[in-house]
Amino acid sequence: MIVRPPSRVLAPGDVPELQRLIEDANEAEENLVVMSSGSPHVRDGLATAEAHALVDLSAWKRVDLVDRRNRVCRVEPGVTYDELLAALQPHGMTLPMPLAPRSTKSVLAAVMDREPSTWPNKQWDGSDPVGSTEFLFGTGEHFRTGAAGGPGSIDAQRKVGGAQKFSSGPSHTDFHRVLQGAQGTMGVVTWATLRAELAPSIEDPHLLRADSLDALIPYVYDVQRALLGEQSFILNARAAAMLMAGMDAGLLVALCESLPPFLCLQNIAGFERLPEERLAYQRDDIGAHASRHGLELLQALDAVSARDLLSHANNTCGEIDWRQHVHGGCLSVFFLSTLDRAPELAACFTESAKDYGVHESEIGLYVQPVVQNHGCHIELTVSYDPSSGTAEANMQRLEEDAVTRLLDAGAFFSRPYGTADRIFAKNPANFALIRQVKSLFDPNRVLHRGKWGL
Amino acid sequence: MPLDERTYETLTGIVGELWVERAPCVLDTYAYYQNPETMNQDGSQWLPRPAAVLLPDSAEEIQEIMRFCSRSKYMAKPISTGFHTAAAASNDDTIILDLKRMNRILDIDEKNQIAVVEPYVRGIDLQTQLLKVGLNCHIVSAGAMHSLLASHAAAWGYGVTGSSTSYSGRNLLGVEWVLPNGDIVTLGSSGFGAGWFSCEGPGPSMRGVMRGFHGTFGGLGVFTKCSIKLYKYDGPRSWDFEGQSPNYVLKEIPKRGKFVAIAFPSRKAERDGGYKMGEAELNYGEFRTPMFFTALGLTNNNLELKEALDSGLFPKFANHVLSCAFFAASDGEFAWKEEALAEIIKETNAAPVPFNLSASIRSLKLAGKLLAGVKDPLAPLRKSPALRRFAESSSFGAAQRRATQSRLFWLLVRNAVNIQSAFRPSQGMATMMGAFDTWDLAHAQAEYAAKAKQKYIEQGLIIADGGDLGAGGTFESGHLGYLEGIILYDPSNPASVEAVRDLVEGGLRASIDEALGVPIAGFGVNANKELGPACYHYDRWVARLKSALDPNTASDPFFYSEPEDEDDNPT
Repeated sequence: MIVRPPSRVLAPGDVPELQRLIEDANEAEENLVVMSSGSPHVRDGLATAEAHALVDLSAWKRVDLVDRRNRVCRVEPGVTYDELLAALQPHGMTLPMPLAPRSTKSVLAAVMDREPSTWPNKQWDGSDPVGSTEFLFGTGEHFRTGAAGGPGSIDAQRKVGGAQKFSSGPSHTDFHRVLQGAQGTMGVVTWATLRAELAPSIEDPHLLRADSLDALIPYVYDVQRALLGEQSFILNARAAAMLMAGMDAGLLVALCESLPPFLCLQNIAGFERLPEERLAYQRDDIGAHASRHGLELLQALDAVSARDLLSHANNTCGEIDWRQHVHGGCLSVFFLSTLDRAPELAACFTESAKDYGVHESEIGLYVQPVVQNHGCHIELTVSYDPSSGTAEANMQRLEEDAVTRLLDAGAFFSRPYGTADRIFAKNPANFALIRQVKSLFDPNRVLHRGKWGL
Repeated sequence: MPLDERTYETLTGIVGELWVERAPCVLDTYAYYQNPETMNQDGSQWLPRPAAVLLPDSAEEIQEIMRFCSRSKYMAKPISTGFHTAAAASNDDTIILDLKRMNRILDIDEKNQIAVVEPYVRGIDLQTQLLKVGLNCHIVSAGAMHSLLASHAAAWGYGVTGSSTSYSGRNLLGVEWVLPNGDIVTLGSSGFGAGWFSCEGPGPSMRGVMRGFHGTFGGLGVFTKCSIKLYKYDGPRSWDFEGQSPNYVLKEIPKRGKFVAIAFPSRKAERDGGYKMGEAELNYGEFRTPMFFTALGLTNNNLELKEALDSGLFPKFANHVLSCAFFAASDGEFAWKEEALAEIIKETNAAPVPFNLSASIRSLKLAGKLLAGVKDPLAPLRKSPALRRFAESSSFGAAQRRATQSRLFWLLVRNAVNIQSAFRPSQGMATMMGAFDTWDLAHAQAEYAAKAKQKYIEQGLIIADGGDLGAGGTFESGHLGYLEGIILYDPSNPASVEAVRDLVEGGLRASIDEALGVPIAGFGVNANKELGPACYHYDRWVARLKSALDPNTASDPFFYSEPEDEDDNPT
């Protein structure tokens, strides 16, 4: 695809301005692409071959509700993770985080894209942590989802104890789900309430090491099914080194050499109530699961401590995505499956990569249980130098080939980026339904026209 | 209208002669459901007699039926277990699709905690398999006989294990859906041959138009299979019991299991207690047990119920009771939960109801007399942890304690809702309010309902239950809360029925005027008209969806939405 730059950048100051802008776009048949995160953008979510105006909501920065009793907050599109964590921290709360997001990454953009968090047992539903939302349809019509959908104003709802936390509704609708994952094609979200969690008052993170991915999986199943522990994910040595090394190429090499082939981060924590006692029983129970599977809870490996890794995971990684720190470019292919299928799907990618001269040791692997481990996010990465045209073209070919093979092998590309957009053809009835809904939500196709052929 | 011969032949050609029914005596069995007299504007107990009842056995047969409906005057209305009036046909051109032949549990994926079920798999069917392997599913409080597919894909309902097993509509992981035009679409990962683990995507999730909070009640096609999320269960895999229905008594209380009714001293304390227990992730099952329900559950007939209430005891201790069950996988976890509960009881000045005291009518009468001048009979328990421990563990009254704990096991784990008992006082039960959001909002709704009912209680039109029959609990470790206001009425008394209608409609108006959320009755053509303008005109959007996906009205729209009226379209 030949990506076109925007013809102009629009920065509406509030919802009425945004609404007028969308209505004008309908009149003028202008194509709008909406952006909330700051640059540089990692994926091609904003990319389009169509002429378009860019609508920049990154200056919408309000966090105007932090409710400790109901564990909920409300954010506008431009709020970043650092800003939100700073707002939640005085109230003893936090938000399940994606793995080390960029410092300019919009929280709202991430959750509306169903970006996985590292805290799987706090995610009850695939749409969490989104509570209620306010959005504008492609027609400019105004809507609120979930409990915020009414009746009554937000103030009136709060006066009787409501906190706009329930996500479904009003009544027969559940439109926030239509907007999630839509990459700006179905509507423009102007705020969302998010389900916050108590921040741990004490933490005792651990690492488990293994020579194979298969060796860690039974342990993860047992611990996640029991809803034990807190943040938890699996990285291979390459991915862990990429996350920890920052811009230091030498450290990256050293970490790759010293880290075990696979490791699992397992945070254990206590909260406001009986924290030490909670941590103690959880450590015992999790330790017993580890032992049963021939694994050991370690506070540190030679090269890295669990606390350091958790800190990297739970904080932003700077303006540049951690995957791009050392080499500048990174192919990232990600999809959903169940945890038991992770090894074979990772192997499928590895097979593809070999055909393009990529050695197994160059492939990063991140496996993230999601929705209380009813599924998992599997991400495979290959770093490259984007200034080399050859490398870039090679990665594009690898991506196309790998996506085709993974699709055939049963990977589910729930969040289609790049060449993964071909997935729609595999379920034409579902795509026909999406098109019908698009024609209702955005009949004049002013929102990200042409995306996925919509 | 009765089917004409040509239509009959067409339908028998699809499902077979054996599975098409048009005898009026059979059709009328599909015209009577829960509290119809409150839904029918004329107070009638009969709903429309459907044109026919079909019993298809596959998505392909249903596909053919929907195609037929798309080109004829008939509309399809699917039901599975059916209970509420929303299961009924809205007129006599409606063909009921009774899905009870589609009763297969297609898969239980223990490792990934996913079950795939057909429409007539009932909660009890699946749960009986699941508990044996340490898993459970969410079952709504209509009872374990309800269709899991109905509550997960097509309708609503609150369940007593919501604190640990969420809400059915949020537990949907995939669905096979026969659209009104007969097309079959499978949403999420399963539609891509990737397994039944996710209903979201790719890209925008069409789950957002297939159900909402309330569901479509058969108004937008037919769901023929779905996958649902399962949860851990640390309770007993099997159990021995004695006694007879409905009073089964466990021979042994499960190890690392606790069953307790916590009496809070005030509504505020009860609210606080719900939040605190949620944050501590304590409860597996939880049911706010109003005073009247407590007395109802402890008695076997209406005379006993009256005598129990006349003892005067219940209003003294049972106005703010949460009945709870929790389990633990290890001794360490159980000890932590016990300690956390003790802290919460202390912080809220609550007391566990002593289960070791006899609840016989004779005992209640005696206790009522002895405690006539005592304002708070549980005060000693509130003050003394030692006394609480004695009540919970001494051999005194151990058999009685085990019997009461058993009741909670069957209620909170097996969802053995004694419907016969719930309808016993007056034969009629209706409900109002019931919007989901916070536990505080749930209580605001319960308070509204209790107040609104007083007038009708004083007039003798509904049961004098104290007013507050706010039933429900917290969900997802206290993140959400839900209470609906139960009304017990006499279905044979038109004035009583009218009172219920006033209450439900008044509740709907109060939801709008006082911002109390979209109530449980806030669905379907009539409610949409009232609620839509107060809720961002969602009614217009569902009407547009109905027009787009069901242009020939092949699905009965009444409990979902009519197609869009051109005059209503602002665009």
